[in-house]
Amino acid sequence: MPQRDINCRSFSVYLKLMRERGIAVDGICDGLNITLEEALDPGTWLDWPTACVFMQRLEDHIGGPLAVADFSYDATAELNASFYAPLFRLVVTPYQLYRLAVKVVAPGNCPYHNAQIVREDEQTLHVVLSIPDTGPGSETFFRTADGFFRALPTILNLEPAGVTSTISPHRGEYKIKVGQHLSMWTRIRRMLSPRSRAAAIEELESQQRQLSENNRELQRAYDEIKAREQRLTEELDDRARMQEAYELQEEQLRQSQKMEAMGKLSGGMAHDFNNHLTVILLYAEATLEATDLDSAKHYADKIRDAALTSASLTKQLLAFARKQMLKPKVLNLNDLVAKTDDMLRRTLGERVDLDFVRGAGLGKVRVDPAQLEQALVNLVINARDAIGDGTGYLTVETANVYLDRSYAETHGDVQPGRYVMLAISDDGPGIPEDEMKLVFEPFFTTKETGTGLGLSMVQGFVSQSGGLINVYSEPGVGTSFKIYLPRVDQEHPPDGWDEAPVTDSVRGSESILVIEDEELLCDLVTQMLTHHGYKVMSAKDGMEAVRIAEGKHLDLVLTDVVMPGMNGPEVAAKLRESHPDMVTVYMSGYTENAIVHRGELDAGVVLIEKPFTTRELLSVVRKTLSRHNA
Amino acid sequence: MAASYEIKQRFFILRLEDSYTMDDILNACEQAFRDPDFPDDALAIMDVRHSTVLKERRPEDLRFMAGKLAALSSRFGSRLALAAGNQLYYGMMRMAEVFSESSGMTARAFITIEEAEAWLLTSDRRVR
Repeated sequence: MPQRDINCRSFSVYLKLMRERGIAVDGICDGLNITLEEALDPGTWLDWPTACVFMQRLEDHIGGPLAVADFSYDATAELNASFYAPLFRLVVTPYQLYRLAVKVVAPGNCPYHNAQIVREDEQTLHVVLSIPDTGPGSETFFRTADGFFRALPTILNLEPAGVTSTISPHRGEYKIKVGQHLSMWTRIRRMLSPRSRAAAIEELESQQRQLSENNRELQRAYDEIKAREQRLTEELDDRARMQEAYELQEEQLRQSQKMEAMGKLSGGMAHDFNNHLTVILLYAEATLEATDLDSAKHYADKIRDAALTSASLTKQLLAFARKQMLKPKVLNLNDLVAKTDDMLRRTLGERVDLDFVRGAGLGKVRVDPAQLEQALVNLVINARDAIGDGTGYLTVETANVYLDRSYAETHGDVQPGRYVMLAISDDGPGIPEDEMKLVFEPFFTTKETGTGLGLSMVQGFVSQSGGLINVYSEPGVGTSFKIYLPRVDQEHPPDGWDEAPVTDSVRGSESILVIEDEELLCDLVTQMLTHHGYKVMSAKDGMEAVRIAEGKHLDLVLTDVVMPGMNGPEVAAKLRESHPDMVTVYMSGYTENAIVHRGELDAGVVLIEKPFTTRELLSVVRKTLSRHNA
Repeated sequence: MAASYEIKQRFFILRLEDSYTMDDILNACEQAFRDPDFPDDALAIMDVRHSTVLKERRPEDLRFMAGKLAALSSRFGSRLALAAGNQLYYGMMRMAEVFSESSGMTARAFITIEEAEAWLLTSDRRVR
């Protein structure tokens, strides 16, 4: 009974395969203690020396080393890998291959050898096989193992890995560079485990679910971003539309407030106008019925007075509607404040003491006095309201100041230079810091009946005048508004016209062309000038004026500003081409951008406002001509 | 939530507290409009007394807010009382008054919520 060292299961498979492929196996068992039939029986057991000799003969017949010592053949395996032995191409599962490897090195498979598998490092498998007793087949055993390890990469259908081996009669050492092969092998092995496979599938499905959820999250985030972007775009559009609406509304509101005030004003003015018209009508009738010249002249005087008063009312109305030209004058703020002193005291009442601190040697400013008075009153009323029901002090102060470059740089649209300051300070409760940034905003008001436009209009006026307004306030101490107006120390030519006395010598002999589309007025002005010695031509529009003036001498053109066709400045420019020495005087009932720059006359332009008296007209004409001739 | 609402009989009170955005305000309004208790003849009050962010808002923000609320104002009779609580907010709500006018909503600013309620009740011209 041979020693049961190894069974013939592996050898029998080899023999069967060899026979299937027509490889002669006759004589392979000659000299051994088994027959071919026994060798073909997997249940036959051999002693180790016999097995070693048998393996050697098998290798001789095959023509190469045996790749495996034992395996199971399962052609129905799901996962296949190709295994190229020197002779056979066997299809086995990776798991089976793993088992093969274990069996090769497992001590239980061969009681004569010990196996030790050392994982030397991450990429190297170190296998040590040893056999205690040297036998005739021991070397074959080690070479077979060597072949197996060298075949491993091929088994896995991967790039060949390095295998180094040291074989002695008792010992075989193999260093197999497996690297990722091992890890892949391990992974495959794990996946092939039913439990691991279920877990892997569960893990994969879980990952799939997570990825799907991530995708949905990303889609939701994307949709949200798109929606926000859409909302943002809509909001920006809304804001732009509302900004436009706001500007329109602001203008409309200002206009409506103006109209409301005008409505109140016009009620009173209509009453006055009716009174004046009554006077004019009555005196006109009386004039017609007058029997002597003195009486007629007396009545005519009354008619003129009533008409002048009415004209004054018209000016007030125009001023309120901002249709009147701004009339900046060079003035001293001390004078202006002194002039308004009584009015301010009446506005403040007895509870508030007013102190006026006049700056010494105060420089002059160029500003519309009516506007500045209005601004002053606005600020004083604000101060009074801030003081409330109690008593308090209000100080109006003037001073020369110099705003340097650093100040100008930190205070917006202001040029460095000399200014005159007008400060209105109260000892009221002060303005809280939060409100400070809003006090000049249109419509911001803490007063129940306020419009919120007072300070914004003051700021607008000051800015238009080239100045700056600041507010300084300390809660519990008081508030100070400071207006800085550019200092001017020389008279400006246009200012002189308002203040110049009407000359007595208003006659002349120069050539004048009157251009006025209002026929009655054109005739009247022509008569007035003719009556005082001038050589006068007239035209109802610009084209006619150019035609009439052609080839004629012209000293002065007296023209309306707004006319059909060419406007006044255009006509004047056209005429100046052929009459370069002429001068121009404009007549206008209201301001127009054509002749007005920033609300005041362009330098050098002479304008007489309608309505005007004969004396005023003659005075302006004479003065203009005399100045030009000089 | 910084923008919330309360329905108290006919009053729809939109409370803006602490910090909030325009979206918060609109969301609160939308929730209120979906509320089955939202009255058909609602009287609306926007209560900003406890807002902390309002003081940082610029006039154009107020204009924007007024426009947005005006667009929803048909749900509350195109009238909105504004409870300010302090002088600064009162001034800002006065600006909002003006801004809302062009959008077809009548707004009025008050210091207290009682004044706001009183105005809504006394100036309500709707047929009930």
